[in-house]
Amino acid sequence: MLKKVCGDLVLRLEAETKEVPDGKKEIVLAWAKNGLECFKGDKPVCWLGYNYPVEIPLALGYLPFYPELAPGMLAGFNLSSGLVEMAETRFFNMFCCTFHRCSLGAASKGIWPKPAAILGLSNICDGQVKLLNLFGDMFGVTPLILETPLDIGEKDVNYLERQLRDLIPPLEDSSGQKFTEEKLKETIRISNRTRKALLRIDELRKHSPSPYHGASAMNGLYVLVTQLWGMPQTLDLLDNLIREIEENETRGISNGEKFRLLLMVTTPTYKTEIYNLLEKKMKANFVVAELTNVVWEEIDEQNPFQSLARKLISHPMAGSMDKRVDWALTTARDFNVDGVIHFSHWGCRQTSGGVGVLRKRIEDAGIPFMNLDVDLVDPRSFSWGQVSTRLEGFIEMLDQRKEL
Amino acid sequence: MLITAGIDIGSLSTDTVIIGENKQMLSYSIISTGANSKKACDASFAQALDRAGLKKEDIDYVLSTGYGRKRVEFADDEITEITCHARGLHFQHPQTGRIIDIGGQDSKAIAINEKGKVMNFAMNDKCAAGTGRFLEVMARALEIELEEMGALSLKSNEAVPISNMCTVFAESEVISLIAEGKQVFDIVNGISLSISGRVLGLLDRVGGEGEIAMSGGVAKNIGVVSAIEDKLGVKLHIPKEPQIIGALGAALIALERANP
Repeated sequence: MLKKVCGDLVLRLEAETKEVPDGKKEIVLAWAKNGLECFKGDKPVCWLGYNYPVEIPLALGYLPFYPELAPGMLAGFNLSSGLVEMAETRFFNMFCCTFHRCSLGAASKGIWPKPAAILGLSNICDGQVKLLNLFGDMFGVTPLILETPLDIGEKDVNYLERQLRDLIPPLEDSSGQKFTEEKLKETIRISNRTRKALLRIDELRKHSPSPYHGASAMNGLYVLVTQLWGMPQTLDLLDNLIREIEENETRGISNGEKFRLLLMVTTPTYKTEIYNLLEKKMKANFVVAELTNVVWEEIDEQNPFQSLARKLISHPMAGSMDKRVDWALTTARDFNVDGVIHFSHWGCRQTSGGVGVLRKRIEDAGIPFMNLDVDLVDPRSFSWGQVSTRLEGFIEMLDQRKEL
Repeated sequence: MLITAGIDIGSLSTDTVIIGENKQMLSYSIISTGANSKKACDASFAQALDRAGLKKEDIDYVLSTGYGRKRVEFADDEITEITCHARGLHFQHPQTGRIIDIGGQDSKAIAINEKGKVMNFAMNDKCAAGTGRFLEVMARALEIELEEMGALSLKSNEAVPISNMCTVFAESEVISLIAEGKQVFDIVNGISLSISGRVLGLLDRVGGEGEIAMSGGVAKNIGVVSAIEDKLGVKLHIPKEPQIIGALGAALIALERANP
């Protein structure tokens, strides 16, 4: 199923982007091409948990595949629900995350490419570790899990750095390639250049009206940041995208932006009508999003393992809620947003568990905040009437507060 | 004379309010929405027009609200019921600072300022617990009329707690309680307490200050109202006809738009 989705996407998007260049479509095309590569069997495939330091497996010649995130792509094609149901036969009940349930269903059905290595980390999502362990049993691959500290003291960084170094021998074994420092430096340079390009996009998005927002920004940047990170093709994609955004700005293309929004977590992957409602009807744009914002320092290629360890530990979604709250407040101010919309994914304790603290601190700072409880992958429990009323009500409220 | 109408299509009732340019109410109508919201909307609007002695073309601006707001083809525009309840209650009772609205499909708390503008709001989770639909299902399980529930609840001296949050499970629980020989009025009292607990959670979330008013069909249920008042320790302001507040708010906003 995934192979067919990727194949169809490549055929369609190659033709479309040849005719009319489109930054978002080019990113999805790159994702689909990588997906097809994973099925060829020429290179070892490495399954990675969300936010894994992909620079290391890339330096060893692996093709990255993100089993937790690929369900979002399937949901976009209405292919997720049956796979979610399948997971229940493996004791993953309806209160578990559907990114994970869908992925388990897909793995059980043989939809995902086979892994040569499975890599995960513990500091953002506890469910990730359990899922990857289950995958390890299914495919006879021992998962290599980073035990990621929650604080950023020197001892913590050193502890994680040692674990990153320890990854090399087993990864060399399963890829059949020798690790070289030069190769790692090369992937880190790509990673840093990607980061720089994203910062440029963020600078452009701070402008009012924002020249890049909503469905295009989310779908494109989300896929690039979460699933294509560190790969050489991302550099051209981002150069094209920056050119496209700068052109949009020069030509004054705008939807008449009245409200600027910060998106926390992400929107349901199967429901793009949310963007139509917000952007076209309410003139409200997501100008910045939690999952595509650059939240780490440049990686030091002279000291790559320690620098990567710092990147992982400092992530705002890992550890104390204070980090996530501080990120949200700083970003809301930097991008001059009128309000924050947070999507609490059903079954995700990581995002919904702290929403009370988040809401209070953001509202105390005078920024309106709305939380929506939705399933981001499984459309069966989604009620458009309820969600659209809450979204419209929130924007109407922003309008009334602006009058004060 | 400038005349506007507000139409609120909810999951249980469809309400129309027609007002004149001095904001005086010319007529209103409340009918059951049933399975066809478009039909209910046409019937409610026709009834309100008839009661006011007006024709459709006499109406200068129609604003629709509620879950069916997008299906009113003849409306000039649409707006959510959150904004409309705020405007309607502020007009009727300007001291209102906080609103509890329990409708058929959802319950909400709204904090408003001295001008009737929405400052914050919170709505129930996706399920029907704490809504009019919840009461309807419970009435059916108890084999009593929905309208009887309020008075029955007040006869109780000891509530039977309803522990299930889910409407479907709560229905089974109520059936089990009947089988155990519990008194119907004690069960109804337990149901009222369960709804009041959920609504107060929403009210707490929105903050705000000032008098608390209640709108929506459930405001007619004296049992639920008393349960909320007991927990809050204050009297709620209940409008004479709480079901038409959304439509009234829509008609008032329509008037502002027709006469900017």
